[in-house]
Amino acid sequence: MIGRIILQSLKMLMVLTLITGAAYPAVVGAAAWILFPYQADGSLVYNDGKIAGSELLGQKFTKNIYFMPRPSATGYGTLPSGATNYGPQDARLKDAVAARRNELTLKFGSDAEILKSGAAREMLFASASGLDPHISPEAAMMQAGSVARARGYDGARLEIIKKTIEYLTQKPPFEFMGQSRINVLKLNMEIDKI
Amino acid sequence: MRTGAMIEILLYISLVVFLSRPLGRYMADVFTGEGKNALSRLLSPLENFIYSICGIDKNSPMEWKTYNACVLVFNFFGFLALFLIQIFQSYLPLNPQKFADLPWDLAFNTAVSFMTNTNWQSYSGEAVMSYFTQLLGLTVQNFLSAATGISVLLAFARGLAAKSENGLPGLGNFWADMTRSVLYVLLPFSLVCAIFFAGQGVVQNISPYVPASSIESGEIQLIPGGPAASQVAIKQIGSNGGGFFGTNGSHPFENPTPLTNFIQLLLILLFPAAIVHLYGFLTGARKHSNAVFAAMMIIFVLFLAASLFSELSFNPVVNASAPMEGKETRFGPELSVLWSVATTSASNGSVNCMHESLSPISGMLALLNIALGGVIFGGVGAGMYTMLLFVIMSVFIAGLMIGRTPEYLGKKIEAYEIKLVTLAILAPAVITLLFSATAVAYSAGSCSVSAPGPHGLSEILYAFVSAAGNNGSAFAGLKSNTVFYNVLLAVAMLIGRFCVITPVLAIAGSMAPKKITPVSAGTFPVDGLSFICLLCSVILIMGALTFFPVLTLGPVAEHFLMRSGVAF
Repeated sequence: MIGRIILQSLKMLMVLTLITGAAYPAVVGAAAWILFPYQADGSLVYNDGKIAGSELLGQKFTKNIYFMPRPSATGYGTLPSGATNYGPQDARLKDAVAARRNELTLKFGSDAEILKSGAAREMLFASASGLDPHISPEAAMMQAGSVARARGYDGARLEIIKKTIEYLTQKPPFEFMGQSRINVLKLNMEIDKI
Repeated sequence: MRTGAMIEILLYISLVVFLSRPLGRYMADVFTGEGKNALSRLLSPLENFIYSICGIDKNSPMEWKTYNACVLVFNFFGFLALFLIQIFQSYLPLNPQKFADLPWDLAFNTAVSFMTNTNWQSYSGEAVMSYFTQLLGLTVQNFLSAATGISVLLAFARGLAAKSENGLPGLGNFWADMTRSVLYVLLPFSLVCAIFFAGQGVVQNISPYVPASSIESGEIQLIPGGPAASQVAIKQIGSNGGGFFGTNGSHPFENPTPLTNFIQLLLILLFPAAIVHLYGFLTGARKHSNAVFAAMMIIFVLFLAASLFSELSFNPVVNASAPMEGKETRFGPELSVLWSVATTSASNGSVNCMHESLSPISGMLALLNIALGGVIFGGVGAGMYTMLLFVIMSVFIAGLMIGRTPEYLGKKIEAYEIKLVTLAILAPAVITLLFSATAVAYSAGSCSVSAPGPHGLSEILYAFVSAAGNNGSAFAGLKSNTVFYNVLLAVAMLIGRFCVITPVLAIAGSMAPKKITPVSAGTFPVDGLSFICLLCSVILIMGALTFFPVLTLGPVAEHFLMRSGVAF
């Protein structure tokens, strides 16, 4: 009796492993490769012919001439992805948020006033994946003046930057699903072209 | 709360309500075997081929002991295969990043975790697991553990509804239940969803990681790859929840857009919800299954509302409302909370935000939601069979109150069944508290804690609640990749899984031959408002009585300290 069950278990495991662990992913892989080759390979973006990153993964920007992304617990490292996992009343979180608030106020001056309303507050907090590619449109607008100054742009080109932000803002699908967002990597690549 | 988020949440709940019924109907067609289902023309040759090469007679019903033996033996070999793949992965193909063999304790923990449908992860997939392990080890167990849950529920339903005048009825055939669950339910839906996810940006390849030189400084960032889309689909459909990447559904390669977020959220609850209706179709007790569905939905909505309120409130420590720590911009706070409630209801365990960084009350509700037994929809199959234990308990309590032998679906519930119900309900809770206390008491446990203050206790408690509840989400600050936690958590998972499954099947076995007594004026109705209220109260009171003392030391204390601005 038990011998029969053991034999059936082993055979079933083998067959179902081949179906669910080999055939199924292979079919998905083939379909993705035919239908969505760009996405299946990691949505890679190129700069001067070289791979510059993935459209979906945030990357580090520290210079004033670029829009800054959200704080990341891993410094935008991918192996592994990660968060701070600070609890809601962790002193490390309290200090980090206070420091970022000061830093943003120093850097963006009166433009940082928007933080007081609660908008753009994601710039104060580290993301869940450490790879959040987006910031809110408000956070981008907050930085526009500073980026323009660092690049020595005049008022007309500041307007172009603001237009670019508007143009690149991804609205929620069906108007309500998820949040408005803007991809920092794409934005910085566009700004470089101005 | 944003209007958009409110619309999305309402749409979400309505879709769960309206889509679960037809899906349950379809599953009933699959499992009753008599009728043809929508896919049988396409897949029945494959189904019959499986039976013939494995030497299975799909029509031979099993007694509960045989059914149970099949569950245990089959799952043991599933565990063993996954364990071996991990400790020998460096010798196996499809390992472009040259990941090393896993240490025994981590491999043991992971193998138990995926076999028991828990999918607790003490590792980050992108930095540890080869593609071979992800595909032929982890993806496979995503399917098989879910199918096991569905099969056990089917056996339970057949036992409870069996009409004894047809001779001694069996509980069905485990192999046929497994095969049909995989072929007709899990596989086709996974296939469609996986391809959709791939189109949205979830990676699906077997290429080596790609070095990218950043725009600003040319610094190298490795872009990971892997067969993620195929695993993400079944991880949600099968209530598994184990991420392909370390940060699970918050990783942009696993959940890239608001659309994938919505579909994945829907899959988390839709299948467990459909199983409630499946139970109604199988037993013919449609009104009863609707009442159970209503009870689940009531508790879900209560938890969701309380959690949203807490998370969106002002946190004086960081001087902000709805703080975005551990959350992603594309989802925002509301959808992060919705996910946290859904994933802990459904014993799914995937996350799209870091639960550790949630407000104390939201974190506590996630924890309590698991601790209730994973019965608010719960895991596919597992949620419903555990819920039925609470139903039997409720009927028993009602019977005590009116002083009459309780009946369920016309069959008498006696001391033997109640003992088993009690065992199955108490075992996970007892083991949770016992192991948490052990971890707090010994430095091997407490040295892994990363959070200061009461939050540290919550970290430990969450880990064991999650393991024993077969959920798999975490307060991820806990450094759980130690021999101590890997072994203890694995034991908790095993107890949380099989100390429920075996009693469930034993109850099925003892209920099956019982005579059905006709409904009389003294029968306690298992539908209608009074039943719904009784069931909700039994679940909430049991959960509260067991966990309230320890929750006051952790999240509740934390909540009041946070309100007065105390930081640790």
